[in-house]
Amino acid sequence: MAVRLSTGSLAWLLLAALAGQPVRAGEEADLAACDTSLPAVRGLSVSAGTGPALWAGEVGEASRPGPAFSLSVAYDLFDWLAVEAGWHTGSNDTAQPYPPAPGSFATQVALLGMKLRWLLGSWDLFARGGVGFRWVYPNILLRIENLAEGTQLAWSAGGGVGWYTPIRGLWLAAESLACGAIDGNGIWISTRLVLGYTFPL
Amino acid sequence: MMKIASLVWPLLLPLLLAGCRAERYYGPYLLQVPGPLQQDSVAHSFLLPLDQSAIDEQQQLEQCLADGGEDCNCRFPVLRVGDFSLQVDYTLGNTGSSEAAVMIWLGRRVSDQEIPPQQVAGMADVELLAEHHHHLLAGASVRMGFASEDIERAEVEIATALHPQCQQDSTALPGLQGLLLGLTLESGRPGPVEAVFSVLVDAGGWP
Repeated sequence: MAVRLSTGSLAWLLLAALAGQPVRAGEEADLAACDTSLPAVRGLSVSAGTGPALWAGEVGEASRPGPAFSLSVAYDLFDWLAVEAGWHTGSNDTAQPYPPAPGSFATQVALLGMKLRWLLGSWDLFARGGVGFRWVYPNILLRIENLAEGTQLAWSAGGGVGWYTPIRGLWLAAESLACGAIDGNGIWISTRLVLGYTFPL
Repeated sequence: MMKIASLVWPLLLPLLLAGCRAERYYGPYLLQVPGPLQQDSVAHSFLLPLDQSAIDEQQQLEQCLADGGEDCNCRFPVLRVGDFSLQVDYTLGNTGSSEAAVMIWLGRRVSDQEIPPQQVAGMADVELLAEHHHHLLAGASVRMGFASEDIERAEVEIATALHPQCQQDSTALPGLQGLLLGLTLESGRPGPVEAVFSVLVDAGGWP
């Protein structure tokens, strides 16, 4: 548990450290050319994030928070609306009665959805929703029904706040995502810091 | 972005692979002694999962045996010793008001022609694979398990004894298709004593 948490924390710190790297001398001219009046760029975005994830409900009582990662691709249809596809994964240790011996299980989520965005200068607030598939593996939580019987149809909802850095196209976001299975037990909630880049249209 | 991806990916990959092992948990199963019929020994049968190739091989084995073929079990082992790694975890509790000596065991059902070298009290048709002995005070409980290495070692011993004619490596010898998870009272008639089992079946590699 301690190793996994520290791994997640390490990834988080790396992302934060990279985002906060000082601008080198050779990049100053490029920055000067940035159009800071238009911090938000419309286009195709790629992003990666990491942070803690936990389960709510019955599954949460039988597991502990753990690290999670995400990779997403989004395309801005308008300034306020984007379509996106994301893959989210996380690991949680068990906290259930013995047996089985303590272990961990992985949660994988693949989602397609929409993202609504409200621009506020260099910042934005966003909300998202989507559908996809959730896969929890292995079935170590033996006493919980409808959790890990193969791939399950899933829904997701979430939101967060984004900040467009002075480097055109590069942005940071803090966000949360809740994911439940349409016919399954438990809601997986991940909170993460995301680093993204938008390739302009 | 490439720089970040190269940093994040090594952290992500183990997480992904950890979630993709072909392992499955079964249970929990509850056993209690003295049982409903006041037996000193009770057991739960656990059959290993057979995939389509094992089912096909089972049919070939039956045909081979029906035809009076030679070394049928060597040629069509159905399941091999190395196909699955098994781990059995259990909690054993003495819910009675007096001390209890208990044996918790793994075994296999023997055929009519076999005489098991180690029998379980009250179960003449069972051969022991592995056993743990516990002395539990009233109200006490213990958490333990049978490690996969111990189960595989017992499985190899049995396969070697049952199929001396087979020439393959030990992990390719005909393996068990099922287990008995058992509980036996070894002293008097205290109790009740109960055990909760789970079985981890790991086929290795990808699901």
